[in-house]
Amino acid sequence: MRKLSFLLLCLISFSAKSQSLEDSVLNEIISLRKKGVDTIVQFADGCCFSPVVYTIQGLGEVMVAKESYLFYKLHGAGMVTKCIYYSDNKGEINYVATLNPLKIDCDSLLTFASANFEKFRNEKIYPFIYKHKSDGDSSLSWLQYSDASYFYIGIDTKKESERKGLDPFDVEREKLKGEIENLNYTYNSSTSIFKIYMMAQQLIKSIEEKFSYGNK
Amino acid sequence: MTRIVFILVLCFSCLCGQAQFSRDTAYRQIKKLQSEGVDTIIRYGKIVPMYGWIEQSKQLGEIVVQEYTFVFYQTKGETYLMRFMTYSDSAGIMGRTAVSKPMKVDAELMLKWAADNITTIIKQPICSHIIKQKPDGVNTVYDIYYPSHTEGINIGVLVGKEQVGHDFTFEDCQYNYSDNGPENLNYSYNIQTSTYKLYLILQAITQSVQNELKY
Repeated sequence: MRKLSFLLLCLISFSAKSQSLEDSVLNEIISLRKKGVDTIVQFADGCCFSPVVYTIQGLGEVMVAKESYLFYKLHGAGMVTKCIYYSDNKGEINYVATLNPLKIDCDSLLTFASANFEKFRNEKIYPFIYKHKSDGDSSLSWLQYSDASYFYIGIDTKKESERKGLDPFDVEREKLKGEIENLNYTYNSSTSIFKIYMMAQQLIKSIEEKFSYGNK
Repeated sequence: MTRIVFILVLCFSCLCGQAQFSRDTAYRQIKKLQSEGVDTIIRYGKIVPMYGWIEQSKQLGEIVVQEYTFVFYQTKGETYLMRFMTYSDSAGIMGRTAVSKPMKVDAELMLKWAADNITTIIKQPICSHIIKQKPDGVNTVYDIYYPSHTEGINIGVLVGKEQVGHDFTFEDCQYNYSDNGPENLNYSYNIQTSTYKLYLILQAITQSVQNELKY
């Protein structure tokens, strides 16, 4: 009996530790759906190579490797929730937490996202392609950064959902002080993916340090 | 005791046998050749992730080759090549490696040409297969064509302390990926590079000797 309890405890603890950020976000979306939320905009930063240190009330000092924001409207009020994948100050890794939601004015983001859902679905961000000056512009190259951050933007409506990826380098106009010019900049910067990315980033700036965890 | 011996044998086989890749063995051989004073070496490898080529070998039977690396070098006035490969044998055991015995080849001119042109080879990598599209009917965008399973090719030239290595795919050197597919904008550039010319010579020599190699 003791062995069985130990085994069960191990299994429960394993399932908690091994939960991924993606599972947590999905659970949160399902829970919001049950509460009657219509449109959810997700903004996820997979900053695996440059973790960010935050001091979060209820968790203390943590190092966040990946984070995902969910913007939505509940009972007429704009809200944002944040799910994080982090290691604590004891060096324990692979924790996942859903932080307490905050009020935020995200009307324009949600309206834009639901109005442009079809456009968003049919778009993608094209890679940073530039002309090689060294051989007289006769060849085209792809600028790749192995340690770059990568973002995911998602729109969930009542009926459908769509996710898109965005590498910040692909939406830059130029690199090396204008030495190389991104041939895909005009298109990439006109996409709704890029517009939602910019709007979400602007909103996050004001609230990213204000989240807390657990019962208030 | 029997169990311990079994575990030790298993660990030894994992560490020294199965887990080794042919390109690592080729790399060690190149280091050995350099330490013996060999000046010019050319490395030519191919890989298809998760797939391979069926080959018939006199010594090994029917095998599926996952990756291989040819090493060309010159010593005592003669030019040789060796082939290092990772393969699955006819019994389906994966991750096996084999090294061919050095084989004399007539490739002196190629080694000399590569050594004389190393500066150009450094400056001229093969560029990706890039196509032009109009996704919204208005704006022009440039995209990269990369199929999920393609032949990855790598070529390395080592001349004294100078060395250069270029990685590219089979599709980078194709005009289009299907009959009506859009044009590869780098096609004209790629096929006039020194790297591509060297690739064609390497391909011709290795294909002509492949069945004569002894393992």
